[in-house]
Amino acid sequence: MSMRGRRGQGRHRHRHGRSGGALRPAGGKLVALVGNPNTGKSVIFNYLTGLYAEVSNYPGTTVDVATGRMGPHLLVDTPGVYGISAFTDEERVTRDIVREADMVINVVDAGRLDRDLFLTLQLVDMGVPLVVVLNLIDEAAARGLIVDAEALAGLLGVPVIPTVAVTGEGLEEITRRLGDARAGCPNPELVPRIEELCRRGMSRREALLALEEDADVGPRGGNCGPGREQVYRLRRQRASSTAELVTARRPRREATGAVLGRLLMQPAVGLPFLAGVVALLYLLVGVVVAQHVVEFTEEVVMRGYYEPAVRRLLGGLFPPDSAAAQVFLGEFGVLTMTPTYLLGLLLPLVVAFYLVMAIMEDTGYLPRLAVLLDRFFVGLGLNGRAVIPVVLGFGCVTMASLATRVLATTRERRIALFLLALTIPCSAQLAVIAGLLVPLGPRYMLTYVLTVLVVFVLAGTLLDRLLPGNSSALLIDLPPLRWPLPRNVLRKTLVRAGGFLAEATPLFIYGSLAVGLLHLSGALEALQAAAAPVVSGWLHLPSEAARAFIMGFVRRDFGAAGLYALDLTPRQALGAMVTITLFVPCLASVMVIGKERGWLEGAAMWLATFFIALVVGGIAVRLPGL
Amino acid sequence: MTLNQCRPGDRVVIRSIEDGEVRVQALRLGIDAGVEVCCRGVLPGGPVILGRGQHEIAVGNAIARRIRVRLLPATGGRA
Repeated sequence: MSMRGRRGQGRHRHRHGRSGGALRPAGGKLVALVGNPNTGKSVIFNYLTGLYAEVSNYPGTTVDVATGRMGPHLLVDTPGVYGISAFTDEERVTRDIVREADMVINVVDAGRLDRDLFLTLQLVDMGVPLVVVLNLIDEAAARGLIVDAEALAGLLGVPVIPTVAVTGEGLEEITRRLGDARAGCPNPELVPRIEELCRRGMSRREALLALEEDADVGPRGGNCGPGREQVYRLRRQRASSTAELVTARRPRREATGAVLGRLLMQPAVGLPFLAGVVALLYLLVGVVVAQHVVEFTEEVVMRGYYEPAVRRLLGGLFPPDSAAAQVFLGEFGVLTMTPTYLLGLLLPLVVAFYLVMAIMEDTGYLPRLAVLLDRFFVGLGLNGRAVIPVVLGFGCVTMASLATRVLATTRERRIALFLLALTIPCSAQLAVIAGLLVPLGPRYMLTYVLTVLVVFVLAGTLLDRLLPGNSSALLIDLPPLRWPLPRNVLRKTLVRAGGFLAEATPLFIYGSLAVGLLHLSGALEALQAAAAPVVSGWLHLPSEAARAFIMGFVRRDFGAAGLYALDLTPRQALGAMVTITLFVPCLASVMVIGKERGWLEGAAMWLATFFIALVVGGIAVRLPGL
Repeated sequence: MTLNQCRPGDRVVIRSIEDGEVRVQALRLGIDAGVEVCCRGVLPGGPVILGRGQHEIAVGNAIARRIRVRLLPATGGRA
């Protein structure tokens, strides 16, 4: 899934160093792989770099960038974009890499040439040494579209290599013809203006970006041209006429994929399909993994083997019943509870969830879901694009909070961040919730889901009414429905699961250290006593539940796991799960919200979630008819 | 008429796009005044799905209401 948004200008200097000079191999070149989303870029990247690619987060963004060796050169895979500008984080990353690159491999979809040539012509106008890879010629041919690669090469002035990336057809040509990369024929109407800016000391690439009023480059160029819209219109006309000239059409019946893709957006088919997807997800994550896999990993592996082993091994180092033994090996021990929760309970769930997410992304289902649910989200002051952060939120709310940058306006980002912080349980938390509520029968799970959904809709509707300004409407490209490639799906899943561990582990360690120390100093008991009127009186929970909520300040899943350990009646379990779901966002999310929206607004959101959680939790525990 | 009034199967030519920011985004996706598109679907009160050849774009209702289009006569053929 793409994560986009707008950011300030400050960070771009050091990015250059990272993407460019510092990584450029001695004697080799820095080659950027650039293309629209869903053109098969990552398959080509895998082919060109082999097994040893490194995926890392581009500094200051949520954008992942893969780099790998290609002979003597370094190949950088850029995020899929429709053009290079400063509309989103991904475009900025791509733009900055292109500015540094010695040459660019541009992948285009032969069946969507009209759309893809916009980016190609932008690269041509920038004067970047370029090779165009005309991919998916098989898919285009199946739809009756034949693209004349040589004619396209003639019109663009750069080499064009026809390929079918998934079968490997034509891919060896890319390395062979890399040396032929050259700057193509720019739009003649832009040349005088570009040259004028170059005379003022700008590089060709910067000159074009300035001409297009790029938010980060533009101001330095002064008021110098016809403006972005005119440049874009010139380029759009050239892209469309070029695509028209080189494409031959033979009438074909519409592919079943296209028909299915459209049906998925019609409520009568789309909604039952969505219900099916949710049911499958629930079966896989909530039942198979949350119950059977976790039973093995948590109970057998971690509690059965790991914990006794670590106690035996290290028990000798600390006198039994000493403070250190409590902190490291006790009930909340850094070396006992932390690895058990993290590896035994959360990791299997998070992996299962990310796997499903990656499949949904790679099939092209998510944008269709955005269309299907657009109207629902418009009622909450958002648009269909908000499904991206919301779906991601079921994986990890922190990651989803960063993904709110895909939303176009501050107003939408504010609403989405609050809804995420308040109502969306992350996969780790969902797991505990499912583990606790599913055995009680469908009534409890259903009541839980409905309660949280009502809060979601009420909070969104209220924010939409109360916040000033307007939200933007949906405008998205719909990628074709395709079968996902297992290799790409696995790679994505593993990268994200690794990211989860890297982020969650330190917080878990600090959290259990804090709880351990609170416990030792007696402060935990004091806090528990202080919270008793609320926890026992209002929420009807045993007073030890306060401890779980205190852990919940660090991470909600941590809190939920603490509640899991208590002996609760069905009614108590429902109330406890509603409360912990709506409870304050985890520390990592709080940091993200603070950075995105400022600390004052972050604090307001935090307090709001705290009170709403307690109020709704108290109501849930009193619901009649259960 | 405006884009949100189209029905599935209609072929239309875009006459104007009101919002400047939308205009620039649409240009990149291949939509501009004078371009012929086919309406591939409309969700009641929701987005309109536009097609140009194999390429499909979803346009939210609030934007579609501000895009003026001219309906082309039906040809009976495939758009």
